[in-house]
Amino acid sequence: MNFRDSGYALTYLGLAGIVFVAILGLEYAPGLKPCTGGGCWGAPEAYRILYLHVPFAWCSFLSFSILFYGSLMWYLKRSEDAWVYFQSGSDLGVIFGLGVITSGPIWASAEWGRPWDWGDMRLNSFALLTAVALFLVYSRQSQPDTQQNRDTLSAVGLFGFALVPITAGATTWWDTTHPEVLIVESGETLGMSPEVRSFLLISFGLMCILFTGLLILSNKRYRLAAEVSSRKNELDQEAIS
Amino acid sequence: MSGITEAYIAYAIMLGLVIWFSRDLLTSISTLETELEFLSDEQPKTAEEE
Repeated sequence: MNFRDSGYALTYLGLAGIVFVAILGLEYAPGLKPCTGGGCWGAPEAYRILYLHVPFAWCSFLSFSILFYGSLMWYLKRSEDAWVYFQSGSDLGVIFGLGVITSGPIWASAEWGRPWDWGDMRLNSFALLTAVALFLVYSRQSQPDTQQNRDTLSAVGLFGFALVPITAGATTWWDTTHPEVLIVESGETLGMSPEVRSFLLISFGLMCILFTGLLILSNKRYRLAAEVSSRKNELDQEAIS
Repeated sequence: MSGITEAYIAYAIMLGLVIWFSRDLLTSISTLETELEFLSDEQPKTAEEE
């Protein structure tokens, strides 16, 4: 294994980082009192889930942005590189999206007493976004890799991206059960304590390192797969001629 | 209930997902590199040889 390759180094560093965050988050992060300035917490220890849940959610938005970039570039250039980004974006969108929609309901059942709120715009639009990414991954794997299929899937990727701003702004534009924007707008009188906020930002920084490493490796995988496929075609052509 | 058990379960799921995905990526890359190396050495088979 070539450690000089930045993808490997960033992935290992990111993995070690989030394991470190997990240990700190579960064992050493500041706890919450059952009732704080922002209101009362039914399950104050369950809030620790947010140290990974929130960075996962932000990284899933990054994944969907990569997917959007890949879809758009595929339409504009029809290049193999655009398709590589499309594939990586959809894979990463599924992984980070699944992390969010499994950890969120676990927190919600502890805190709200129910895992899901079907009337909450943020929860439902995020679930739909993850479902779009899952659909793209399964379609890619089950359908023949033709230009027509790539066009169709890219169109779904492009329109699916419209859900990103809707999901991100849902807590501001609609009444939701999901907590509102706290991290960006936290101040002295509102939101989370500076220790919790700093911890979350460190966790997000480490998650970004992991995300970058995974993106580089995923792109490498799909480029290699394209090269293998192209080499097989060459050999077939040479054998025929 | 304080919710610490739920926190451990959620962490296990999230860490499991990224570790599984990283492992899958590394295995695929290694397999593809081996396959590409093999194909690079491969000479095309003629119809008679087949």
